[in-house]
Amino acid sequence: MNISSLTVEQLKKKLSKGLSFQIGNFNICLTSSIPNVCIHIKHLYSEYEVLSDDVYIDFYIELCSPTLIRCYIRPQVVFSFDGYIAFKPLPLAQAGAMFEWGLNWCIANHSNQYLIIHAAVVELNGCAFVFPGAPGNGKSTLCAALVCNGWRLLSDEMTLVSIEDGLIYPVPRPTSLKNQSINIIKNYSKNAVFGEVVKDTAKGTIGHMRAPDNSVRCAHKPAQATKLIFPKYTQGAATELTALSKGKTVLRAAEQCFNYSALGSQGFETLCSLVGDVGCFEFSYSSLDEAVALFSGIAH
Amino acid sequence: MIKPILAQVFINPAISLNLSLVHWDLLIRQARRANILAKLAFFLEKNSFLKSVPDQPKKHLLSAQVHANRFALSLEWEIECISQALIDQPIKLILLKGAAYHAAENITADGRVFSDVDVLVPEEYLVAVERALGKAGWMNLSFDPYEQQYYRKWMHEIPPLTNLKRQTSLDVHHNILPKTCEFYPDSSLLRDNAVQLNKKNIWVLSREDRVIHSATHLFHEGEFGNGFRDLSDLDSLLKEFSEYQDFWKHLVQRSVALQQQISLYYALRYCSLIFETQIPGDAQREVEQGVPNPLKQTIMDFLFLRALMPDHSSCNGRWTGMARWLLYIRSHWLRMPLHLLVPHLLRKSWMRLSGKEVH
Amino acid sequence: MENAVNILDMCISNEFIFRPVRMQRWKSEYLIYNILTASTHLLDSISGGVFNQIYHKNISKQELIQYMMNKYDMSHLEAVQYVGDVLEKFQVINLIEIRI
Repeated sequence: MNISSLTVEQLKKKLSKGLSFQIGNFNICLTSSIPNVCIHIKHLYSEYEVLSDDVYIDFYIELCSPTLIRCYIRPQVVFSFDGYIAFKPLPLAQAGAMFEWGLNWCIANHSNQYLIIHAAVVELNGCAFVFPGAPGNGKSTLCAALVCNGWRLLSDEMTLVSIEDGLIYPVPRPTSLKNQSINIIKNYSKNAVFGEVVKDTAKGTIGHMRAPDNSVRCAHKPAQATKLIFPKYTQGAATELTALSKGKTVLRAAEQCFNYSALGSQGFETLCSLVGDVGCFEFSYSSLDEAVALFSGIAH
Repeated sequence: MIKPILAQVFINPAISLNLSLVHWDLLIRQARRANILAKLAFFLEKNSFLKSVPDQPKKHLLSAQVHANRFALSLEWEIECISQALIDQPIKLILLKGAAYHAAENITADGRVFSDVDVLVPEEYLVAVERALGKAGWMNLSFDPYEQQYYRKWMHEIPPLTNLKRQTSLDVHHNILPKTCEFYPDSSLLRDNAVQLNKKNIWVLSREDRVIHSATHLFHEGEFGNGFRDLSDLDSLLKEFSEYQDFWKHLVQRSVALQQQISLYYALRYCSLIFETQIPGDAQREVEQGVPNPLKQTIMDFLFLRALMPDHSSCNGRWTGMARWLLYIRSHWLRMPLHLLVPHLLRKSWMRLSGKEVH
Repeated sequence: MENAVNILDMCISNEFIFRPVRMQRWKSEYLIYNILTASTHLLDSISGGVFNQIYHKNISKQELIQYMMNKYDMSHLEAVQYVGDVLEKFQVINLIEIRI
């Protein structure tokens, strides 16, 4: 049974006691009485499978007001990981975004069965392309455009490379877009579905694009990486894919990993193994159409 | 007393073979909130039960082990760097608590993850030690004059140091309790009894003193986020050291010499009540000589049997919050006379409310 | 992992103490992972080659100078300068300790 089969009332009730659902290989139990959160889940997680109460849960998450006063005066929301408050409170309007950031933190800090790269990863024709990069280099916008053109979304933010078998395991979630990228993608594809757009966050204006239903349905299927590409959006830049040496790729990718340090020599080996098996590139672009055409052309 | 499932597994790991997924779910949650998840993993592994854990909880145990293994390597390097920085100082470099358990290869070190390295040096060498550490990149990052005075005048340690390159923390102690404590031990007794390890200038407290320090630290503590973990350290150390001849006799003797009979009494009492640690009858009778009166005993049981539980919703009862708060006040009262305590607590409350408190 | 070398134990030669590392080589690039400090270093083909030599061949500093003169056609002065610089670099990044 998916979340879509619940009415709004049923969803609200489940959320107040704890809604259990699956995202890729992770079972989440989310508790919240905040209306924004219910709307966020209803719009952006409708195709995710609801789990029964006796299932093992990986992450217990609660989004609630920090104090009674903060329910009413300059209302705030706090993210609790099974009773542990990991972050400072945020304005209530950012509750949906806080769920996404908080869940990123849960996965990044508690999943050492994977090497976790801060990278978008999408797949076409059995070829997974990994796009690591610092915030602001355009990887999320590029990821969203590819996904609007039929690429499978494995993740917009966290590439999970299994230590055991080297494959990429999906954790498809709403793609997080910032500022101008939101309108760029809204104009780029009429099929893009967005949740609430929130202004004045620490990262600027944030909106989340719903993951395609097919990507969610295929969340159990890992993929083989074939290319690792560092994108860089620059206004007016020509579309150019330049080969990068493997050594430099490892160093740059290591900087983008959440848990490279924690994994120790296993992290080094897994990353070297991944880089050894894939083509490594830098990519500069300004045209989404040209970027999509180029990548779709080489995905085989 | 109903013991949480986490305590039950440490008492009898074989019960892990018959746990349902719902039980595993709760067990992992309690262990994580108690900061003891990796320790649980190593404990199950040592007792050959890890391989029988179902896949879903097992991945969390293995994930915690990965983190703990990396932590142990980082700690090894950190200890080496500290030792190198103090190589010219004519002192024994004595490691305390987690760093000591690791260096001495105590069983309780397996999976134990913590934030600061603690060392003990003679008070007369504090200035020289701080200067030598400063040359090697450890700095005190607080310029708050009140904090400087708090530590240097009244406490048993200088303000925490941070290594600028590695962003690691180091606490340099000259004793195990603040000067303002009623039962302030003679630190030369600790240093004279210290044991050198097979590594350069690395020392740890003797076995008995390691237990007493752990007990003293826990039962003067004001914050119990790691209370359950620290009690499990005591349980583990007692089990490991009880193999040595005359350990219990020496333990009681040292508690008298260091004036820490009450802390040892509480340690043995709560290890026995929560972890069912086996204490020989002789030792039990000896420590009971330091026993508080029955009313005080009842109050302490009420407070500690709540505060020492894992800080998780499944273990927190109606009075747990109040118990922790009262013990917080108690910990400060033990450290400081009233005329220092009241202004200190007021200042601390103000710093917390205004979000300025760091350490 | 192609061309990977695992050197886990701390090795001691006459002149150097080595830290436990993992090494990965691709053509002219050497990646060295220091297991204790958790730092990753990218060495070029020359300095990587030097590291490989002293790790595997247990050669002395003098032999290393001779090796550089032969392989890279360096003068004695150039080789002495280069070897001195590169060994100091290895020491600064904690890959080796030079025994006195």
